[in-house]
Amino acid sequence: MTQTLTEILQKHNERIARQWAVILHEEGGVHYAGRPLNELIGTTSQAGKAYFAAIVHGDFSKVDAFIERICKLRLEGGFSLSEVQKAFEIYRTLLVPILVRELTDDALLSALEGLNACLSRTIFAFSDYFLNMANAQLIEKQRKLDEDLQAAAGIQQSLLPQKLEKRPKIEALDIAWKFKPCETIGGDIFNVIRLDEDHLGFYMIDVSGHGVPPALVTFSISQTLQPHMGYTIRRRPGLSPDYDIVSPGDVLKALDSEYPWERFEKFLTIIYLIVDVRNGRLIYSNAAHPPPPLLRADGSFELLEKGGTIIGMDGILPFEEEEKPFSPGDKILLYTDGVFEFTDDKGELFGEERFHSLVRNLKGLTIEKVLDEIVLSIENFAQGAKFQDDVSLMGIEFKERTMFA
Amino acid sequence: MQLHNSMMADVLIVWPLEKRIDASTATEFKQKMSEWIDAGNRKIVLNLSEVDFIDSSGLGAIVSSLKKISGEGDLVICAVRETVMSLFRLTRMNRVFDILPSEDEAVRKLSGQL
Repeated sequence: MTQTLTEILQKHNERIARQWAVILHEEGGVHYAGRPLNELIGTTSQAGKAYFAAIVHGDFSKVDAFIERICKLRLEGGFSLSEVQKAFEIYRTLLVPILVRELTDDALLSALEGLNACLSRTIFAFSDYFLNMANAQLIEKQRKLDEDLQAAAGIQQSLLPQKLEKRPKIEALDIAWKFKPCETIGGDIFNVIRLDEDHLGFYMIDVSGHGVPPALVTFSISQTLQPHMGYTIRRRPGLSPDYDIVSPGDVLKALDSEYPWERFEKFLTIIYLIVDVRNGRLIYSNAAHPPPPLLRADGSFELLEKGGTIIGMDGILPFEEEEKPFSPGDKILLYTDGVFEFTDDKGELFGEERFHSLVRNLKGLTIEKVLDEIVLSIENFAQGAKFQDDVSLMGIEFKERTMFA
Repeated sequence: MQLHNSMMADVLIVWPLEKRIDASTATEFKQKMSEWIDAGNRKIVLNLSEVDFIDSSGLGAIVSSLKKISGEGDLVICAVRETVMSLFRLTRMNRVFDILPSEDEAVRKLSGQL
């Protein structure tokens, strides 16, 4: 019986390999059509020999080795999975009629079983190989994306205030900040800009959403607010002084026309504050950012509540300004709503009121310490849960100007 | 987007039958409102009873409609859900929009009966 199957395969193998290659070349799709016929005859002959060993002797080692070779050659060479799988179905359509003609009963049944086992093994192996290959490509792509995101996060960090030792010395003010994007990169940004010898500008921006799109918007606005861009400092060549510090309301008005809602389709809130260190005053305006608390040296607490609506609403509301005295020991906190808009594991909101009462109780501490305490409190409340929004905080403390002898 | 509209005397009532007015629907909303204003409607009630989320695009589209009609007519908003109301408060839009509790009151206000 085995003898007969052996004879059949030996007798027909060469012809089948040739026919197989021709069909592949003509009907196997663009990739097979693009290979020389001789190369195809080479691989179909190898396949025939491998299947012979498996069907007749139950030895699958040659089939496995062959599969691996074809995976490397075809799948990694850009052939589609279905193309390769169909190619092996051709073998079945060629061999089955011959087996049916030459064998009967048990001999036929066992030959067909052997053939089917070989082809199933081949086709499953291709699927596995293809899946692993696709996975490896995805992992590689993801790794590259992660790397890019890390690099972008590094660039975003560079838009924040510089480390203490690198920052231009700001006499009379102590500044501290925290920046915790809930993903690698986020929609919050803030910074300090020196407007002239006596004036510093502070801004904090929150663009709705998380990840790359809002981060790109923060890049754009940070750039716009740089003094040389003409939005925060207006040049007046030939006059003395040859510049004007643009008032906060006018800065927000300019941003409002520069960033209409159609441009990015995001909520964009910003607070902009100018501190006059010589005269101990501050002036601010606010585009729907949470109102900053002003903690007075005497322990009293007030909110800076003036302002207008979000950026990009075509001037529908004016951006009101307010001026306040800013005296030694007074502190201001700028922050985004991620500081209080998160829930604990029972679903309870931290909330703005809880945040205000927390801040009220932090009198008498340095600004650095105030921020540490706030972060500690919200982390305790969140119980180690990941923040649902970016958290940004910047604190400014007005110091007594001391004259060193 | 599903935007139901009906007339009550000379008042056009616009009733978005959508949960959200966001980037995917705002342009169409703005376009439709603009066509109605161009067609001569000068008194419009916007019923937000079905809407529980508005993003910046949605807010922008409503503001555009308000700006387009202002000076020549009035746009009144009614039946605002709490989630949307808190957004209006947060963005101070409650100062910009005329907001009334019910459609009936909104229509009466525009007809000069309130």
